[in-house]
Order: sequence, then structure tokens, then C-alpha cells
Amino acid sequence: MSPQVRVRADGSVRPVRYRAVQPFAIFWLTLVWLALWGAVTPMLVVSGVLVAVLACLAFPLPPVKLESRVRPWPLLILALRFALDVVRASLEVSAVVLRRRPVRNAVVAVDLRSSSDFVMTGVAAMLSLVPGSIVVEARRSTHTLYLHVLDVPDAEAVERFRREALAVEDRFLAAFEPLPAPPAGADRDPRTESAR
Amino acid sequence: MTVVLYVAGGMLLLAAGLLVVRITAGPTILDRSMALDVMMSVMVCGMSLWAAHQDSDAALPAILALAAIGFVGSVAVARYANGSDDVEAENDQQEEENA
Amino acid sequence: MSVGAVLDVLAAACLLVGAGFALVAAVGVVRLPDLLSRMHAATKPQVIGLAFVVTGLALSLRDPSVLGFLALVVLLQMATSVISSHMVGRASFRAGQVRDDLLVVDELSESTQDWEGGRGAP
Repeated sequence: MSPQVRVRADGSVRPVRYRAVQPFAIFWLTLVWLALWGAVTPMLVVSGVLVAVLACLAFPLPPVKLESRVRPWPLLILALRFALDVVRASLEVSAVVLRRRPVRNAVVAVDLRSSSDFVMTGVAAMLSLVPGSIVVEARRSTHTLYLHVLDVPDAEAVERFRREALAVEDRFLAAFEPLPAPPAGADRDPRTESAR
Repeated sequence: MTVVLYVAGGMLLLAAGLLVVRITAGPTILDRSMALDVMMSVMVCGMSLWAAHQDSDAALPAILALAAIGFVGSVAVARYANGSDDVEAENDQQEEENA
Repeated sequence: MSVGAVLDVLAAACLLVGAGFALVAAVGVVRLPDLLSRMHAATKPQVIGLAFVVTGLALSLRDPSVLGFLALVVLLQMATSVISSHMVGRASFRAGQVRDDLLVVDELSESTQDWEGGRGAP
């Protein structure tokens, strides 16, 4: 996905700069700046915002379309469950590594229910870190994730994994509740017009 | 504490040795780049142990920089690796395509 | 036992467990049969091992100003290991290096083979 672009008078293409400064990105970059300095003073906050704006202007990215409302309590559940899953995944993978039996794998297709790019990215990132699975291919047109799953003895385990993956998506959707769809005609993706 | 640090350092050394085996054996460039990725993480662990041993935060910026940009190498290799340099696998694949 | 001693023991345990996970990751990288299986060993125990080592370091330094710094290290490691494992896994699958005899189900090859865009394109 390329940044939004504008065509200049001479026909050359440039990314749109003014859209690149996004409040959410500025907030995160400022937090990173403060973490790097290890202290919070007014001077550091001001300089952090300044550096964040400059970074956004220097490297413009397409805006992240959240289109969802963040709910704190399900978000906490999501984070805790995720941390638990990461620890469990590591122990399971360690067990697979250390035992002698040869390992059987599977490549499983998971059709996500949501059609938002943001949800797909988030679920893919979480599944990559959670029990023995790696995203091999993500198909944006059908919102399908193809996951390589470690240690799958039979077809029943495949179905079990698919249910787990969809449960992750459910928790994600509970934490980032999607807003009602915009009226027809307004939902045209501006990126389809953007240059490759 | 010092004994623990030496034991942990020994484990990391063993891990690095095993990774060198994989980097040498290959068989494809993707295997090697992935093993180097793990080696980077072992290095970060080792520098953390050193920082704990010295009780100083002098190594922290280096740790952060390694953790932040260590993945660039394997992503670049994966992006530009022309399939594989595993000749047998390549031949098999071409035969399948010709069939 | 003083607070310092308890923290020392916790830090030592975290460092040992973290180094152990790094060792398991290396053993997996050597032992497992094909690239994608190795990648499982490479990403997960490695990330958790690093998280444990960094926690141990934070417990032994006991300096609040480095906490954000160390949290950043773990977050960056998590974010980047996802990216690199996906990129390497995808390149390997497209190059046909997956050993079919180890797979129970392969729903990706069953579906259509024409990829969207070229190799590695976003």
C-alpha cells in the first residue's frame, strides 16, 4: 500500500505531505522519545512532539483507517490472554523441539469475518506470536490468512486451530468495536486511485 | 549472581555454536538469514548479561538498536532472494513446472 | 531476607530462564526438519527468551529510568520478529521449499496458485 499521492503540474507524482501528520502516530512517537530519555520533563515533551512531526513529514505513510471504537475492558482481556498465549506457545514449541518424535505440520486457511485491513493486520500479528503459527500468506481481497501451524497430528487438530484463530479475531473485534459502515458511495477506497 | 551470569553466558555460547552449525549447513539462504536473525537475538541476550554483570546501563542503546534494526537483514534477503540457492529443490521445482 | 536479595534471586531466575529459551531456540533451529518448522522455533522461544533476559536485567539494574527503554526493546523485538518471520516464511513457501510430506493439510496450495502481485510485493 502506497501513500496517498498527488500529481504535480508537470506530471510527476509526489506523496501528499499534509495528510502524513497523524495525531495517533505523533502520540506514539512522543511516548517512544520519552522512553528513550527515561524521564518526563516539559522540554522533553515539546522536543518529542517536534521530532515526531518531523519524522512523519520526512517519511509520509498512508493514514491508518481504524474505523473502530476502542473499549478498555475487552482490550485488557485481549492483552492478558495474549500474554498468556505467548508464554504457552513458547512452552509448547520448546516441548516440540526437545522431544524425539518427528513433527507434523499443516497450512491452514482462516477466513476472517471482518473485512477491515486494520483487523486483518492486528489478528495476523497476534497469531504470528501465538501458539505455533506463522502467517505464510495474507490475501487482502478475500481477507484470508494462510497460517503454517506446527505440530498438527490430524485433521481434527486443524479444525481446533481454526476455531482458536477465529476466537482471537472475536476478542480483537470486542476490543476494537467496528463503527457502523459509512453510507454507500462514501466507502470508496482512495487507495485504488493511487499510483503503484 | 556471578555464577548465574556465567552459567547463562555458557548457555548462550552453546546456542551461538549451534546457530553457527545451521548457518554453515544452510541449505538455503533463507535458512541462513533466519539463523542469523536468531544469532542477533542471542547477541542482545549476551549484551544484557554483560550489562547486568557490570551493573551499568552503557550497553542499553546498543541493545535497543540491535533489537530495532536486526530484522532488516532477513527481510531484505527474503525480499530479494531469487527463490532459493538450493540447487536440487530448484531443479525439482522446474521439472514440476515443465510437467 | 531483604528486598534486594529477593530481587537478586528473581533477576537470576529470569536471566537463567531467558538464556534457556535462547538455547532451546538454537536447538530447534538445528534439529527441526524444514525451514517453516525451524521458523517456529526461531520466533517464539527467542522472543520470550529475550523478554525474560531483559526483565532480569531490569530487576538487577533497579533504575526506573531504564524501564521504558527496556520495554521498548521487548516491544520492538516482538513487532520485528513478526515481520521477518512472515517475510521469510512467504518467500520460502513461494520458492516451494516446504516439505509436503510433513504437512497434514495444505490449504494454500489447494487454492489457486496465481499470487496477487509479484514475489514479495506489498
